[in-house]
Amino acid sequence: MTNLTPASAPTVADAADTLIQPTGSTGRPARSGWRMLLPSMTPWLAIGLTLVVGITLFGILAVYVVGDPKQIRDQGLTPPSAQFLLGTTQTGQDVLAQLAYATRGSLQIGVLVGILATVLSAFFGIYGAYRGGILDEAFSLLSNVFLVIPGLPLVIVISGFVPRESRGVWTIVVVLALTSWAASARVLRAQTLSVRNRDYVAASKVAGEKPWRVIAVEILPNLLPVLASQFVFAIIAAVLGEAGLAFIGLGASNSATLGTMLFYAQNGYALSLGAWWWFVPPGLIIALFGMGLSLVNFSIDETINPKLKNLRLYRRRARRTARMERQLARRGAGATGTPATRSTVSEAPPR
Amino acid sequence: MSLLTGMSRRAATLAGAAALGLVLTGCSGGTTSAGSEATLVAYTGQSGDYQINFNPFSPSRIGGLGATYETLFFVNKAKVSDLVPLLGTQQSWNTDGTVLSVTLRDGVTWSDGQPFTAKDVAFTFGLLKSNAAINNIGFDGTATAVDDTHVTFTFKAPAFVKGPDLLGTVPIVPEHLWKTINPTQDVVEKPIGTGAYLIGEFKPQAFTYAANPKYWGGEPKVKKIRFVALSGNQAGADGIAAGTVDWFTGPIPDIKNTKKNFPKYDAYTQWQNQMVLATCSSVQMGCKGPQTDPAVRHALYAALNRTQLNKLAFQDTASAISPAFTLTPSQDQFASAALTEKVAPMAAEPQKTAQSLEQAGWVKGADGIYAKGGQRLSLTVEVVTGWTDYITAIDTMASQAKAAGIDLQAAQSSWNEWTEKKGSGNFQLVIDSLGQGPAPDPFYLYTYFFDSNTGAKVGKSAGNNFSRYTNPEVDAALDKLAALPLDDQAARQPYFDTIQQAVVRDMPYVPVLTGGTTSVWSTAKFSGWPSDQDLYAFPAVWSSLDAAEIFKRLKPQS
Amino acid sequence: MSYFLRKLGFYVVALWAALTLNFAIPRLLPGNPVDILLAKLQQRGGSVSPETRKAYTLLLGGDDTGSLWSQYLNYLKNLAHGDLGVSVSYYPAKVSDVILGSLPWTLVLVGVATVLAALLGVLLGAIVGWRPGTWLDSLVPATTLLAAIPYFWLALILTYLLARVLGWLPLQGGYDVALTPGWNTEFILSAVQYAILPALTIVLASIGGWLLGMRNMMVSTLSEDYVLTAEAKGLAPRKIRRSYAARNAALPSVAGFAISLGFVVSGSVITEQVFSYPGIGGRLLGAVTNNDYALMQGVFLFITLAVLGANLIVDLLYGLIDPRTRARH
Repeated sequence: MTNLTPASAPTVADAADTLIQPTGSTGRPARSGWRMLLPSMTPWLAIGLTLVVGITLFGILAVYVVGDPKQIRDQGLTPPSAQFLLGTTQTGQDVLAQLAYATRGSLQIGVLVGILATVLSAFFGIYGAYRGGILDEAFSLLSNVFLVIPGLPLVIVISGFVPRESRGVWTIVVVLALTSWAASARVLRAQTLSVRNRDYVAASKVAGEKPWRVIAVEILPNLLPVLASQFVFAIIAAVLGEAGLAFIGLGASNSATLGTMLFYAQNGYALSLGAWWWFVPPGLIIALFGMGLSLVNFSIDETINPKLKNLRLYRRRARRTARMERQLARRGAGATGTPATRSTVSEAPPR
Repeated sequence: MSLLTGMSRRAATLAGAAALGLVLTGCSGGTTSAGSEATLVAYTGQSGDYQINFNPFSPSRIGGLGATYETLFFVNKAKVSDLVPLLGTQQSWNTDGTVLSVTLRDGVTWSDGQPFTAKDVAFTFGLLKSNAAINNIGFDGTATAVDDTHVTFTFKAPAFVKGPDLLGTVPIVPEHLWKTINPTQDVVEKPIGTGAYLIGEFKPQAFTYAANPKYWGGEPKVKKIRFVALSGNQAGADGIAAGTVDWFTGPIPDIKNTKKNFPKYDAYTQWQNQMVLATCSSVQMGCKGPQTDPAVRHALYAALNRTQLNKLAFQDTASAISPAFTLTPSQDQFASAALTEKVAPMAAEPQKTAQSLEQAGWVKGADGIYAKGGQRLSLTVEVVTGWTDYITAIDTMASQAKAAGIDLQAAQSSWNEWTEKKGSGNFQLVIDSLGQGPAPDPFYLYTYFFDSNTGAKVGKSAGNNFSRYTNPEVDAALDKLAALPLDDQAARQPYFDTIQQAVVRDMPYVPVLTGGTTSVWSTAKFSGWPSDQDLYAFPAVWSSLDAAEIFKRLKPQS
Repeated sequence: MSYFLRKLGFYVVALWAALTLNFAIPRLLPGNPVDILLAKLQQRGGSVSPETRKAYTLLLGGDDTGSLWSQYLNYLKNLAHGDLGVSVSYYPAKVSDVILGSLPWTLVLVGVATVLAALLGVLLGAIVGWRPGTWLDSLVPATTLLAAIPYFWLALILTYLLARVLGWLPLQGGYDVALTPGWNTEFILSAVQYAILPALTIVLASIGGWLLGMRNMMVSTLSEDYVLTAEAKGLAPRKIRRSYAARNAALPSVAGFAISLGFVVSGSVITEQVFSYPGIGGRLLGAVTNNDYALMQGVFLFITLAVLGANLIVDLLYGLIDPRTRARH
């Protein structure tokens, strides 16, 4: 939820649009009419919000309610019961308690990676493109190099440099952030290149504004929706990426995440033993959380992206027709991030 | 509920281990009759595709050892027993252990038709000596062919203890082909051996053995054996469930009920790996931490509830362990009569923990954990990320130790880092297992893990003795044992007594349990598998030499 | 012209930097190949005597005797000759042989599945995006669920249901190993049958992203002047949809596709792990855990070339179709 606040700031087109139609809007973004910018409540948005808020609350609060997730009991693997709502693992550990701690761990990783990757991509993408020249070339080079860095051994290398106490979560965070910011930086760079030549930016420059001020005041607002959407997708990618690394045995050590939980379930032959209550919930939480975030992102995108505004128009028209036909109105929903971001999300297994 | 056991650790491990799994794979196979019905499908737990390599000396070989290239004798590590004659029929040492005479089997031919003679044996050992990179038994003697069927090995110093390595692990290769081969580089795509099986076809996803119709022991009943490449133990267990794999050594879900869950299969477990909490034990060598105090190690030893540990972490596939590291029960005869405990107690003995610590000056603090001189009794156990059974074991031991006043913490790291820590001595405790030597004789374990020669200062890379145990008394006893025949138990026992007394007193490796190796095999398709009544080889498909023996004994069920 | 030259020069530098990193990262890994080999031998109950250690050090450790700098120069020199060195974990096999043996499986399975997912996704996206607001379109957000499911989790559950419970498809492997690989019907049929399940999971997991991207671009395009003009001219909707809207809307997808192809090699690790499918992913994982520097570098080289190549193509493509990109230089 809170992650998405920046997205409701004013804006122009999203990156993909700009790539093919950079003529876009040339005027200053509207600074008024905030109400206009609130996404209209669609069923999908409602579902998305419910999922994100629900799972976040579960991750934050449930750990205070459930018992000790490591508590070993002699009873072994048991299906859900009144005492253990989601059953127990084969060492008699409470699955629900593990799920609570694991959700918290995964959310932590997701948010940290989201912040780190967004900051990195913003710095290298926006600042480089704004300054241009050698710096731009250098930053662009760096992005390309990071695009091809192999993540798999990087996990091991980095874990060797991270102090033991902060091992686990931080190792994974650093690795995931390092290997995921580059694609976003490229998109942001393209976006910035198109924005920085607009009249109001040029005017601001001519007026002698300092670079950081031009970036913060004139350019950044244009990029906020892209940044927000990248932030959200970085979270999803991080949660998924962590799960993937954990699956091949390189996950966050010494800490509970949904990925490591799935790893233990898989190694405990949860599926073969029919212990769905152990294997299904962690994956479902990841999937639903990711879906929730995407849905929220879409609705916001639909509102702030002028290119997609006609969607609402179409929807209204369709509804009217539907009403006339005395049918139940169905409503569509919105937009997405750039194809580049998408592809990182949907197929970003660890390298 | 089973299985997070010893094996899931290996499963996890293997997921990453890819090629190295092959090292152990090498074995043999055989199969049967007409259709593919009687083909035995084996899976070793190795992960990833095969890369062709049938060179029996190569650590990355995928097969050939045992089944195609035979050794002089077969040493059954599963129990103390006589050598089984293969290419050799008789062997004897002179009294001072410097000359070993071996009589060879007559009338054996290589699979290309050439006769096998003593010259091949002399050539093979000459090859080892002149290529240090393949001489992994450290052979330093001279092999001479006396006549076609007699070979003598001469050594400068008594070499009794080299016997099992030399007779039981060195594959004999044909001189007429190998004299032009580079033994370290050649992958020997078409191996010619004396064994019961020939290499059939090779594909990166599978290779086969075909029965050798001219085998000296008679053509094996199982005519064809196929080794498949899968992604790891999970896949192996899936193969059993789907009925596509006939022999798999590794964990499957719900081991105890294998027969019920999969009526065509049975599971059989043998115990060889003595699991320990190894300590960086020696202050003198630079170790730091509470575990350098033997009293702490004894306290930990007594704090463990091994029955619970076995059930929760190892699904009851582990067994008791002797504090002297003589495998129990198969090596009980080597255990010193002076030992007060033949096996480590299965139940926790908190009063012993308390006694041991308090005598050494530790005092229980307000948080229930002992402390001494301001130092809390808190120990970190190093474990590899993904070894789920060991991690579960540490979790279980931590709660047991906590009850006894010791704080145990698990620290996970990648295999690479874990190996590095062990080698450099940069750890407090490591959960690991101590392996056996080439023969069922505790001498090898003692010389591997307790000899100060294989230790090193902290910061330097150690060999096997990563606990850095240093005891001149033990070193001296090991030297004496090396000069005594393996079968002269009366002469050897006093030295064993000395070693065992020191090992139990100092306890640089805290005994936990003996880990089991479980094989799941198809009893519907084949009979003749090893059993408690007839334990003729160690039942593990990845142990090439053992598997070769087993393949020869199997019969297809009609 | 100078735009393209600059781009090329830029990628050469990026390639060099990536290669240097690929050299450095494996060497920062803790442990060495021999120690890890021995640790693994012992883990499985092998006996590791001091003599074994000595022999394997001689056999496998011989290459890394020079200084880091001379190793680096050698590495670059050998790369220039196409010599990737010898794999330690498959000693004495050449890295190039190991990789070439596995690569076709990965390329065919993951490559075909990626192409399928992209084609299907773009096609469906174009259809749905053409009529925004319809009931079909309103279902689109549901596809986000597909993109958010952990891939291996979906794959394992599908495997469990389709292969284990229902027995419709083979559980694991690349083909029936009793057959001999080659260009014969029997083998190809078997390979196809074994590839269905893994390919299905890849398509399912990635189709949502393509669909959404395309659909949104379609919606954006609909308000473009040229579409309005075409409508005003009275062109048939089908023609507008195909020749005007979809063509322009598909551009970003083309770019995305080039980039995602670059990740085919690296993306195969988990697929191959789940399905015991032959291929390069398993080799990479093995190389990493075994500290097999040469093999790691070899696989990285492929990934590097693929990703950089894909990016180069995208860059050049945009330079061609979007003159403004060129203008600023």
